[in-house]
Amino acid sequence: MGEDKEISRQVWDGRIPICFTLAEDEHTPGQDPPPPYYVLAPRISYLTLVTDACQRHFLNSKREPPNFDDEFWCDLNGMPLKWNYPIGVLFDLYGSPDMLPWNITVHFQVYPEDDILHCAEKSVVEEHMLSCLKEADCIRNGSAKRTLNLLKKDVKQLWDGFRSGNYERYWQINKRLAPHDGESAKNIPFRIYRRQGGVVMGPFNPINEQGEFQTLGDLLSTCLPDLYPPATSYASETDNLQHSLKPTPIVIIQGVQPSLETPVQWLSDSCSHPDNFLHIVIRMSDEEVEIADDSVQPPM
Amino acid sequence: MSVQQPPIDELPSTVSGTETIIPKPKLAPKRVAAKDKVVVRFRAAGNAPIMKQAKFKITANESFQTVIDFLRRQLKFNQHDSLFLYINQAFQPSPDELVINLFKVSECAV
Repeated sequence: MGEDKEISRQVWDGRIPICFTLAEDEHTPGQDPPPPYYVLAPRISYLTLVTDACQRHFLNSKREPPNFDDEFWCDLNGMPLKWNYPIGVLFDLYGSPDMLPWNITVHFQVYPEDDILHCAEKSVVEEHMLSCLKEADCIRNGSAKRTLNLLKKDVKQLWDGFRSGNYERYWQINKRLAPHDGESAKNIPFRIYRRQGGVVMGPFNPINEQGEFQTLGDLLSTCLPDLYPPATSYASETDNLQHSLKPTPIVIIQGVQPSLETPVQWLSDSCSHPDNFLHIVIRMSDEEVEIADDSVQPPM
Repeated sequence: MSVQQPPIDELPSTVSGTETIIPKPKLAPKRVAAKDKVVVRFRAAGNAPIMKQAKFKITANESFQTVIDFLRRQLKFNQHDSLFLYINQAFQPSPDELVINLFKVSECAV
């Protein structure tokens, strides 16, 4: 298991360079637009948690004092970004490693409350994360008992460890929720994201009826049979050639395209986010790399 | 083929617990499609008002926010009354989660 820990450590340390720019309609008239703000953001974190200094930077540039109701939010070429998705998931879904830094526009006005949840304070993210941990516990262990049994100081250590990027402090507590002791989970907590259509979840036992480890391919053909037809799975070369004109799905987990033969239990142990969910992004080969809009260029 | 929901009165009724909400139709998860409906049962906890009718059918593809809004209307709560919803006595789902997913998660409970 040593090697797995090394991977989970690398996943923990994953970073994405982001260039934040203030929305044009929020520039102070008659002034130069404020310079962009660059952040090297952890993949496992959330936009709300990495933008403190960035928010101050832009608020200071505004001549008008901010309104009490103003709430910070981000968009990607006009599409509001959900703060409750981990940054790495948003990037795998909409970004591209060929276009770095990742350009994100920030706003303080006209919160798109039909598209994204409110998040006025960081404590909202903490509650969200704790709720995800309980949900993952239910899926993995059949009840949220392990999470509910944590003492207040344990929960604090878990959160502080996550916030400060302290892997050891976080895992000291999280090993009770998601033990990597070789015993497999009852069900794997996972979420599948696509640009079109909502998130897909479901009970998925990592071991099949024959007692064998189920693979990522098994999971995808269970949850997305249209994209991953069962049995004919991982089509032979000739099939691939025949279908080469059709758009094909691409699986991305933590920025990597794993083999469909990878056991889901191993993926869950090594590549889950700190909310104990395995976040899986599916993109189609014909999707735009970035949502088309060439008005936003990286200000170099 | 669309899945026929069992009539509401044939649903198994559990009496224990204080959960506010339990989706519990006994259908295999693979058979629940997004267009289908899921039966949601509300159970009062703490000093939440007890509802005359506790079971409702909700489209599986709706977000949990729909459930929250619906329940607030049923209870005639105004916008300042706070309401907390838990699944399986355990966790508060994010309002943007889909009912179909919460239904599947609730099936993982033992």
